[in-house]
Amino acid sequence: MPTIVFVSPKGGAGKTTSALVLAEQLSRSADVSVIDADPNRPIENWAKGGAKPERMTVIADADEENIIERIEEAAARTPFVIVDLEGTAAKIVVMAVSQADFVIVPTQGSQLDAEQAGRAFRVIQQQEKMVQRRVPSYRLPYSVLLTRTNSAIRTRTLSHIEKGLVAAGIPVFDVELNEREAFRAMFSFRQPLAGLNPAEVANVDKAVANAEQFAQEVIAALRKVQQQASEVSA
Amino acid sequence: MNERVNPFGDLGDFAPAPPKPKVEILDVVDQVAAQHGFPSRQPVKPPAPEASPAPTTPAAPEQSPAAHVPPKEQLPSRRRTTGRSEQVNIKTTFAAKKRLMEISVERDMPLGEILEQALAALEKSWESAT
Repeated sequence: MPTIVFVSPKGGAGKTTSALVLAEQLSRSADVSVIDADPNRPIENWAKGGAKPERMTVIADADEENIIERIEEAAARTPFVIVDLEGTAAKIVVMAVSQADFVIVPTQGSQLDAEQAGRAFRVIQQQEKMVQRRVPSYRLPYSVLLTRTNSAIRTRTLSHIEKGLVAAGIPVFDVELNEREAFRAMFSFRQPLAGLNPAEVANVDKAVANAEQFAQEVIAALRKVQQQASEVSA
Repeated sequence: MNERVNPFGDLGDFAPAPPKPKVEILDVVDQVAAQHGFPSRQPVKPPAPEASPAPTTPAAPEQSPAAHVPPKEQLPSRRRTTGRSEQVNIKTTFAAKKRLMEISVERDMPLGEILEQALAALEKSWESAT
């Protein structure tokens, strides 16, 4: 059921990395389609390394004209669909959001990133409101994922931003994606996290643990959404 | 390889989904995109190949669809290989320049040659004057 769309109008927020990290973890237990709708096709390039997990399918021909069809086709084939978008405020982002069951907004702990993330929240909220006028039971849940955080130190800016988000009623994942060499090495070696050699890349185990926690929290959030949906329809 | 015990267990409760009911979704998308400054950034495709050039100009050289603009007309080159390599910029009147150009065209002479012959003629006239 779940189509998970990664949105951030700002580049470099960690969309592609967190999308791929989640896709890898989910593909350990389920079939996952990854729609790479970034014109730079970073996930397609990653998959060319030949180490893509068996249960992961990468779809890399999505653009503004066909994104809705691509998501529908993928959702009919596999239980999980993950959509990675380009880091700009483009119409394709709104189109993908219209097909989402859950939106993840990756954000770095900087004021600039937080401001751009705010644009994403407003789009999500308005989309929900407008569809609700026709379908009152419609919900578009979303959550912020703080990315590239330091696992040891919490900066004051990050604390400030997180406080601001919580005060504004924006849901934030408990798990953060830490700044880890392994998350970058996935792309330079074109490997999934599990395929990285701990002798070559520092702290792979910590990155894997981080990825698992993130995936577990996403799964819990999706189960909650699914439960709410079935309660409404019951 | 560091494959470990799968921490997610059974994800069988998530199943493929039929398409979502389209509640005029594109209409909503258009409105939300316009209000929040998320414009279309789809690159404009070149016209389809069916729109081929009209068959009335079969002799025209083949052009790519992007080359609609005819190339700017080129004047025939007046450059020649003469071995003269020094350059001189001269401020003169329009009439003198016009005459210089006219002589160049009429006699099919490069400007450098005209200058040399003009100097020679000038010196000759001075010699005959003395």
